[in-house]
Amino acid sequence: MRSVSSTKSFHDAAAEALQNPSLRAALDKAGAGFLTTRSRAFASLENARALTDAAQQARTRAVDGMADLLLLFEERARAQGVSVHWAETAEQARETVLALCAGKRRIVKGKSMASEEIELNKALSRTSAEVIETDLGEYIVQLAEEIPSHIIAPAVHKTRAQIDALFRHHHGGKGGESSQNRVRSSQALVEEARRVIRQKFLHAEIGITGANMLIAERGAALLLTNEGNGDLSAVMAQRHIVLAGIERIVANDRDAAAVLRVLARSATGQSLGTYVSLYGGTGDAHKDTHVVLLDNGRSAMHGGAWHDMLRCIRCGACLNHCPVYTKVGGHAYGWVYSGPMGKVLSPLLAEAGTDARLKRRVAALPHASSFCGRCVEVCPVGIPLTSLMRKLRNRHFERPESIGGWKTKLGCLCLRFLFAYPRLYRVFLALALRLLKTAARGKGHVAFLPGLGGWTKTRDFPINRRARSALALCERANRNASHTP
Amino acid sequence: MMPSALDERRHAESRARIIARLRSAEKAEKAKAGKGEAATTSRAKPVLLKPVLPKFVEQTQGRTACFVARAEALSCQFLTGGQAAEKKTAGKMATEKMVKEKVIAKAALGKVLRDFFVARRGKKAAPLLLFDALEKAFWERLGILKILEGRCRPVEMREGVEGRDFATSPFPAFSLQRAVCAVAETGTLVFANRTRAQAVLTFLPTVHIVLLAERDITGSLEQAFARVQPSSSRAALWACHLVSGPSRTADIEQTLHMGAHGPKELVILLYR
Repeated sequence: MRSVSSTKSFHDAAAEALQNPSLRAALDKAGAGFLTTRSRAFASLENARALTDAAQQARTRAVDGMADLLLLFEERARAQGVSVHWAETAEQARETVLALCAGKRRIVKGKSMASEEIELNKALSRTSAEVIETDLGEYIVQLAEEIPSHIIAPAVHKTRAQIDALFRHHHGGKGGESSQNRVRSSQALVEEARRVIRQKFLHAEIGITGANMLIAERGAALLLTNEGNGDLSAVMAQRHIVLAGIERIVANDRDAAAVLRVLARSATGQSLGTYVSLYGGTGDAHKDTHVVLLDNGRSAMHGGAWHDMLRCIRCGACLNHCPVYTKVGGHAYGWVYSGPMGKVLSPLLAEAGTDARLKRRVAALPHASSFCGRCVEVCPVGIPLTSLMRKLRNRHFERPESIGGWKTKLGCLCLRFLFAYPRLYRVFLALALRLLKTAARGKGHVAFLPGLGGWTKTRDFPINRRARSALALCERANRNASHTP
Repeated sequence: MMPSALDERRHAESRARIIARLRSAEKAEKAKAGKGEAATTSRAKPVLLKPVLPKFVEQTQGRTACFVARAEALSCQFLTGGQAAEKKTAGKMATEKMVKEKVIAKAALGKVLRDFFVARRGKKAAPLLLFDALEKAFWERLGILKILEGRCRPVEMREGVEGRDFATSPFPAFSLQRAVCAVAETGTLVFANRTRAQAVLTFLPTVHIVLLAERDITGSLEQAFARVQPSSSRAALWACHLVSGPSRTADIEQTLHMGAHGPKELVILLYR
């Protein structure tokens, strides 16, 4: 049912994405906006650095003391009449939510990446219940039977024309035959979605949302949205189910405020999301609230080499600034988490799961990076994404079968041999450069490199001044080496 | 579905295993650090959080000005006491005057609100105005309900109200609600809702009218959080909501539109 390629490798999916003109158009349109709004939001502050430092500390405190804070959260939340459930795996989380939804037919959902992670909609759709995603982007993606391509803007890959067509198809032919060919304005589309989804809110029996944070001292779930859909989901239905990863915990209000200050600024350039809500209380007798704490591989990341990744606040800044993501879009990554944070998180979370195909598909993701380091620069909580990716690459290559075919293996062996003998390496390099120079004589480039087709498939390989100076350097080094005993 | 999925014992076992994994990792890390090896994680140094706010927010007047400016930047509307004085004049004096106009005397609130409804009233019948049943006495004391008679149809929101109660009736167009406090730092209004009925006022109507006392404008987010502590409030809290402007979305081609699912307009009555 999901049209996202579930078997393709990142390599193939990315190549396909690059050939998709509407995807390129949508991504190009979105790209610049994200960057300018974010940089403006931070540039207007006198002490942006102090803000990100405070957020990083708040998250570090939260992740380091996770066990105690989670227990405190549970105690406080229970005391206020909120039920807390613990789920070790995606399967257990699904079962818990399904049990909480048993017998109910009308479910509205706020945006939640954790629910995408455990494929909750798929499980719910097998029951008799009707599940409606209410975040506009998620709703669009749900109608298109896809998965979100961005953790903040799920439908960033869709153009207005595509959304218009989807709405016409699913909402019935209200547009009239005459206007079939005209693409409606985005305002009209927002209005239509509001009208349709509003009816769902009014009749909802259960509201499922995620949580941006779980505040331990308060025993409350913090939810941040711009549309108000998360809150309508929580408020209008009698039962509110919050699904959150265990690493969403923060110690107290002060730490929550510190994270809030950078979260919206990094994501959309706002100083705060339009609606920040704290749920967890006893006030209303006509309401019950459940929090499902999802582990699904997170506790295994704790304390080890991947500990830093648990700090992630899912702001999406690294996606927006990634030269790879902005060209291929989120679906190429083959799972719900994409961009630099996805390259680290997906392989680690998949490991804990039981889906062998998923594991294989996302294991190679850390290689899809040029290590330009922009993600590290913009991360508001200072996650060293590139070094985590490097560690993941190393680990990936520990198993020989992940290196590739016999050609790659042979190449690696040759290189290893050359690297072990510097003099031989220089001789070889000088020879290669000389050959290239001869081949490029008069043109300044070569059109074909034997055995390295990937380099010259779409462009000529330039042999410019730099290559010539490299050759000179090489030869000088060789001479020097032969003089010294 | 299997009822066992909600089994207490099963969840307790899961919790024990998750916590045990977290704790064993912590122990391993401590042991490693004890041996002199560098810990894999960057430990936080205790550093005091510097204030994020400009200095003028420490004074009431500065706070009001800051709140008004930031709320307006978020597309909030302020009702003014006198004539519609939205003329843009340069200079600091003009800004101060504009802020002053936006702070209404408590006695004039009813009149300002009536003028608002008179200006808004189209050809349609008087619109619904939702308000919290628990606050009825407060609105009556202010004389607001009486002065609005005929201009709109007030509806009391009681505990236990259901969404489908609105499915057949004309759609709630307006709601009137009192904010607990506001945040100057971000131009945010804070609501402490004790019941679902109160939260409906915040999210369901098309136009959300908010009453805010000037003395309730706080400086920072932290101060606002402190005002809505679960223990300190008069009654048990169900949820609190920090609202910064009307509902919005940019999910279609990153173009910003107001009124995604929540209120399309946020109207603030600031009084002293």
